[in-house]
Amino acid sequence: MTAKLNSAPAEHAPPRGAEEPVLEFDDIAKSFPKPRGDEVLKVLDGVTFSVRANQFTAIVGPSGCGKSTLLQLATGLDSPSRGVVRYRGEVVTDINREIGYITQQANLFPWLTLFKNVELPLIVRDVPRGERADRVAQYLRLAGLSGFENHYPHQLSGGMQKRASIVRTLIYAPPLVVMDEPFGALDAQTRMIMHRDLLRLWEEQQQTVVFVTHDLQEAVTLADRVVLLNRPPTGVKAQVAIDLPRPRDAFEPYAMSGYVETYDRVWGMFRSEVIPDDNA
Amino acid sequence: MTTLEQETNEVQAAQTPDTGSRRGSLVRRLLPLAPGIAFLLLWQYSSGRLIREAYISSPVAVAKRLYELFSTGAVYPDLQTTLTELVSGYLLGALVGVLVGYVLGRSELLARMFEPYILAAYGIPKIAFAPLFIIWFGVGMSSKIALSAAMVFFMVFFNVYFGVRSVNRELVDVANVLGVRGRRLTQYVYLPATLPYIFLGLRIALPYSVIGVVVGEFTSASSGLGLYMYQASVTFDPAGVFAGVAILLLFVLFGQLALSVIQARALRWQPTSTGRTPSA
Repeated sequence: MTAKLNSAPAEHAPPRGAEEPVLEFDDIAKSFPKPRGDEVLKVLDGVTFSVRANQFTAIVGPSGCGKSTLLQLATGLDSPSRGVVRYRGEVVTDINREIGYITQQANLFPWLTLFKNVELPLIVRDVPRGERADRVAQYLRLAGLSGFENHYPHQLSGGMQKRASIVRTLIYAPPLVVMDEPFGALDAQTRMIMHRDLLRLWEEQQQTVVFVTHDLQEAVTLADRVVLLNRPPTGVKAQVAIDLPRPRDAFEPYAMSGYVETYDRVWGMFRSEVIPDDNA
Repeated sequence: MTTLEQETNEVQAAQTPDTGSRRGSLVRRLLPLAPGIAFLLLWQYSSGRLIREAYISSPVAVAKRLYELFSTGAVYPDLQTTLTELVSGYLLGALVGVLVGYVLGRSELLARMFEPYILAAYGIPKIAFAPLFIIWFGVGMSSKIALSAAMVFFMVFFNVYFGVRSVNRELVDVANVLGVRGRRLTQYVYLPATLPYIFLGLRIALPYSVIGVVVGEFTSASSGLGLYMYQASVTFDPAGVFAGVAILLLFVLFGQLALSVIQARALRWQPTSTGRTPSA
């Protein structure tokens, strides 16, 4: 899409196989039955865009525009009323286990210890016990959770639960990770720390990430590309490349050169969706 | 991570009061006995003063009767019969209740087929069936076991059935995408998630097993505590009735105690009611 104007290391250059999109939304429509009557509520209508390998894509839209639904469609947990979702060229018809799905709630299993929670994806993939233990230890260290192996989720803070849910997904190395407002429920400080940690993990692993948020600032800070959705019936309003250098500063993003200009440009496109009566 | 130490402290701080309060003062622990003692004192006082003793007997008379029953060994055959019926009926009803509740809870199709019938059957007063059960299963223990199992079944069934259906949908979605399937979905998600409801059903059902057995023995029996109580009541011997009640009460209390010990072990992953979950 764009040449990155950056000073980042070479592995950030568009990598191998980048030509074929990892995920494609092709003319997606999705309606939901209204609580009363036979009417349907058209949420998504004609959403088309694709996600390239190893890119960090943020999807931003006003609340209720069907952002989360798009991710449900990508995972195969739900199916579109019209159009198709393709994962690596194949139409998604069933639950896609190659995807990592991170929800707003940490959704750790409350009855499993932290260790077991992170180990579970490896258990179901029949990874031998010894290797499981090594990998879980490695990922817990990565997330700063060593020493809490035998804690149950309710004994961990919100930020720790969040990190645990992220490494539980990263541990099985899914080629595509979709995140549904993962930090929406966290306080501002914890959020910044999570941004830094996520950027570190991502820069290390270079997975393809699709990150849904309603927070434009978060999107611009994290992503390579922002997909803007409009209000329902939702389509793609714009797709914007974020040409900011990496590694990015999660704590003072506005201090990065070009950040303010980029943010203003994207906000200019987005504001009419947020403020309906504003004709700017 | 920089926040780790701080979070560690947070978690530990949140946990310490728990160990402290467990010691709890003796007064606090004995407090539940107070209403019971007050009731017994009131009963003893009223008997012969406010209400004729021939109607309500008295705690002292009941205690004497219990002593006689156990010291002469006269009660043992009845005790054995009733205990056998209770345990068998309870276990049978609970087992079938858990199995059927779980299967219908997991299967939308089976639930739709059978739920109306089970609801209807629940509406039938089981007590009305006691004479029929005697005809079907004989005067011996089988008819009481069947009656008790029938009553226990519904209590356990409904709790487990609605428990399975109330399992957090998003947690199941996440488990699905993580690759948890089939037998492992039961083992790691549905069963542990349902466990609190299973215990709730088991506890609620406990007194019903007693009702089933006693009603059966009242209807027709050659041995059992219910028969003893029946004979006492028709010979105007309230002390005998209350002695029987006291023994049955002890059964239920002992059962509840045993269940709560097992439950505390099985559900130790649950946050305690004192709420020591640290905030995000």
